[in-house]
Amino acid sequence: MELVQGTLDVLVLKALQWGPCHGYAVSRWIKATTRDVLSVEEGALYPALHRLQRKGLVESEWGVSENNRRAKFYQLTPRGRRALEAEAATWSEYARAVEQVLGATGPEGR
Amino acid sequence: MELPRGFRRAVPPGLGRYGDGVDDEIRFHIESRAAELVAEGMSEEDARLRAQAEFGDRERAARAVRRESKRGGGAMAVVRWMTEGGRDAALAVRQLRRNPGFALAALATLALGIGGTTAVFSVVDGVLIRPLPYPDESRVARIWPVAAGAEGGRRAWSVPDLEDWRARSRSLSALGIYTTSLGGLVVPGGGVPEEVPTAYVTAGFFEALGTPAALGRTLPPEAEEADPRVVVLSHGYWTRRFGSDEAVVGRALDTEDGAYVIAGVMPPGFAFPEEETELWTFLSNVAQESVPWRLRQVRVFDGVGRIRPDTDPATAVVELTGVARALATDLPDTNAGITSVELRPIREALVGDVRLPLLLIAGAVGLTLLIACVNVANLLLARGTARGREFALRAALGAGRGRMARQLLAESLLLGVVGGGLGIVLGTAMVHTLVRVAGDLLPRTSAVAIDGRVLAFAVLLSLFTGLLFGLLPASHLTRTGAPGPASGARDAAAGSESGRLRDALVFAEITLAVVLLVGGGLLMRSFAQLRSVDPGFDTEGLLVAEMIVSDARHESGEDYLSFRDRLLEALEALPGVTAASTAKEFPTRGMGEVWTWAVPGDPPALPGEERRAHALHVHRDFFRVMGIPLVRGVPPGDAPERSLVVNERLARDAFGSAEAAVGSTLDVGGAAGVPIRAVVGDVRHADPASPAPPMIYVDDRVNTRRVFAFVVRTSGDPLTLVAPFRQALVGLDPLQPVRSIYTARSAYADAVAQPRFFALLMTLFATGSAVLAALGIYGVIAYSVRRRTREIGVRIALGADAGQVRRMVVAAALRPVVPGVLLGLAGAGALSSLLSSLLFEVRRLDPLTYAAVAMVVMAVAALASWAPAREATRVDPQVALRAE
Repeated sequence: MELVQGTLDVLVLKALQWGPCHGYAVSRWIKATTRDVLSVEEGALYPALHRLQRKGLVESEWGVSENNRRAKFYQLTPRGRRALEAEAATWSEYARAVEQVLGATGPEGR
Repeated sequence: MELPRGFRRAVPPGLGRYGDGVDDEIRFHIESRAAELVAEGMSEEDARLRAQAEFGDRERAARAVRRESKRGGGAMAVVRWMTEGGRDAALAVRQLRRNPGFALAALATLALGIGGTTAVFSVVDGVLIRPLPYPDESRVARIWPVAAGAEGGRRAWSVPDLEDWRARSRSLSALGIYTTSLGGLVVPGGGVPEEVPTAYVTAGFFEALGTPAALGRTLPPEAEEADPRVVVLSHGYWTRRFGSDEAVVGRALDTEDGAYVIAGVMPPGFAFPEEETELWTFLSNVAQESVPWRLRQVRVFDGVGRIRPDTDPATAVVELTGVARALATDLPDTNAGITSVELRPIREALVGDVRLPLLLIAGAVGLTLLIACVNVANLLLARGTARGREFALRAALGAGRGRMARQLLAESLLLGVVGGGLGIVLGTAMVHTLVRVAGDLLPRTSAVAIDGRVLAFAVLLSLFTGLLFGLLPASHLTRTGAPGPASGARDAAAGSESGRLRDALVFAEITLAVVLLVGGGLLMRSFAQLRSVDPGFDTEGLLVAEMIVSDARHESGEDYLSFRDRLLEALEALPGVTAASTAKEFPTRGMGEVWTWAVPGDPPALPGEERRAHALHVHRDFFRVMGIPLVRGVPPGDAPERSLVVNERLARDAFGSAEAAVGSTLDVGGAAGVPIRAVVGDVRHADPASPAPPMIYVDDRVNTRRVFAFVVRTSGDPLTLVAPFRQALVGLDPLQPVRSIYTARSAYADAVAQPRFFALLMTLFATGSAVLAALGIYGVIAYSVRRRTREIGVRIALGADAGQVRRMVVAAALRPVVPGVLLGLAGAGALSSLLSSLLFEVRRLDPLTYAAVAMVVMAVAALASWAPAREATRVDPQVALRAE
């Protein structure tokens, strides 16, 4: 499935919750966790990462990957953690509200 | 430049470098995916292709990341801007060092242009713009009573008139009169006594100007009542004579007339009425026997006043006119006819005459700077086109157009700043030279200096110039830098567009140069006309020495004459001297006294409308020594003559011709029926552009003054007579000072010095810009010949001869020149109306000047293209065809 606009950022933040990752790892994790339902358009991933960095929600550092190659690692900043919590809460509310609407059985309350 | 770890922790997130290495990131991503696919069993080749396909458009992703990193504001942008700016600057410096010839040419051009502009700005600032040292200067004005009628015009002041005006006027808070023509205080100076330029002033003078003293006080009215024998020093005199001693107030200044108490010292920059004035003292110190200034008719003073704060100048003029009229009615014998007033704000009075020429010079130097900019822009374009490949490559690697343009601009800004620095040094030297040369010609040169204002101007000018000549090449070159291999054909195509641009710049240069050359040419012709005016006497081999015979040791008119005669005898005995004589003043420096005259029997003129002439007291040999021709009548004899000599102008005005004048009589200076003995040729006075004024020459044995200008005719160089003259004088009276001593030639040259100065300056800039334009043409043509080497080689191989090739090159060179010349001539014609008030006997559309300029410019352009044209014919076709 294509990502709804704006969800990429919160997914990336979540992907980084447990520690620094490089960009490829983030994309793999999202695919794995959603059991391939959501696919990240790779071309949008890196702009998103840099955007989050500009906003001060993540910071980056060059490091060495598991197979000894140079890669850029991203990790959450304290601000990023707070933003992730807020975003996650908002999403849950949003999802609940949409579910309620879609689960309605009759036209009452119109 | 990787920011250190600690720095990154300290700095808020979001700051710091990113956007770099995105290519590495993407590569790592794709390789990781490929590795995964290989682990699942795919071949390396297939895995790589698949991973790339999955990723999608790398370029777009990379660009998106870069766009992201460009957004963002505040401190982050500044850091990025600084690091990139630093890199641009370093790159620019490297580029310039790799092309020293180009850098040198550009820097030299810029240094001259910016230096000249800075120097002229400094002069214009000091003379025209800087505030005068008088508080609230718009209220200070020179004031003249004005007489109506045919011989009307400004009149001078007298002390009784001053007192009446002061009492009656309501719009002036202060009014004072002054003079500098009474001879200065004579200060014994350990050896030779020195006559110090002194201004004699009345109360009200310093109040009108308003400048407070730097030390002590000025000359307020109370001081005059207490004890008028006080003196105020100029700042320069205080520095020179008293070594800036702060305890000078209250000390005595010894003069020939006795001791004066020093009341105060004026601040630097205060120079009224003249730059040379070094002492101010009360007029009441001048004895009545010397100058009967208590008489109302002794009108020899100038006036300055201050308008009340609550009045505006127009109202003041109206009110003062009323005062004049009232006085004319109340005092018909002395003031009739003086019925109005002229008020000229002090700034206008001081600098009004030089404003136009100075502004024209400023315009000229601005145009020269423009030409310099055009030259450098052309240089940059030429070099930039050679770097076409470099730009194409960088564009292919993803450099944005703005980025490349910014780097080019960095180069031109660097050129501008370094050129500007050199220009400031050059400009400082130019200013010093200008002030030394033009010190007497321009008012307020003491205010001209290279200071903070001028430096700030120079810096801004350098930056602006850098932007100006850099913008065009930067925008043009980066536009044509498209990705792809640079081919010779593409280069040629880009070259022709660059070529048109270069042609346009040459066209602009030529136009500006022609305008300047026409201006310079007109002024030079005008100056030449001025110089060719016959002064009316022989200026060669004549020494002039002015002195006021001290009345300390001589008492009567006979004493003065006997002193004069003894000195003349001593002078004529000097080797090399052919003759010597005296007059009260020397014609180009002084006008003599102003007397009224009338033809006996004519109806009496209305008061205030009497006819006026200049009266000069002369020794009997004066005309002979000066070389003033005797037109009619008899030369003076040995006995004192009561009769008059007049000049041709007066003879014509009074009697219609010289013949009619001789033997007739004039009522003059209070005496009736004085016979006219002879008529002599006209002599020009201070301004050769004005016609000779009417003159009456009086035998000084009959009417004696103690002011003498000795004129000494020599067969050799008059300057060699200076020391012998002084010696002869010392032999007669060691305490007699000489006011000034100079050659007649330099005095007459001084009269035309101002027009000469401006004409020379204008011509200097015009020539400079012509040279620049010629260099520009040469550079452009040489460059385009080199680029067309292949084409020329082909032509020669196909049978074209040297002459054809040369003609082709020269024709290409002249293509922008001819329209440039035409437009320049038209522009010069349009602008020449600005010049017309400065031209003497030269039409502003003088065909000779315009034609000469056109021919000179065309010739120079042809010459500048000749060398490259000759080069072109030497092209070896084989080499050319192989060349790229």
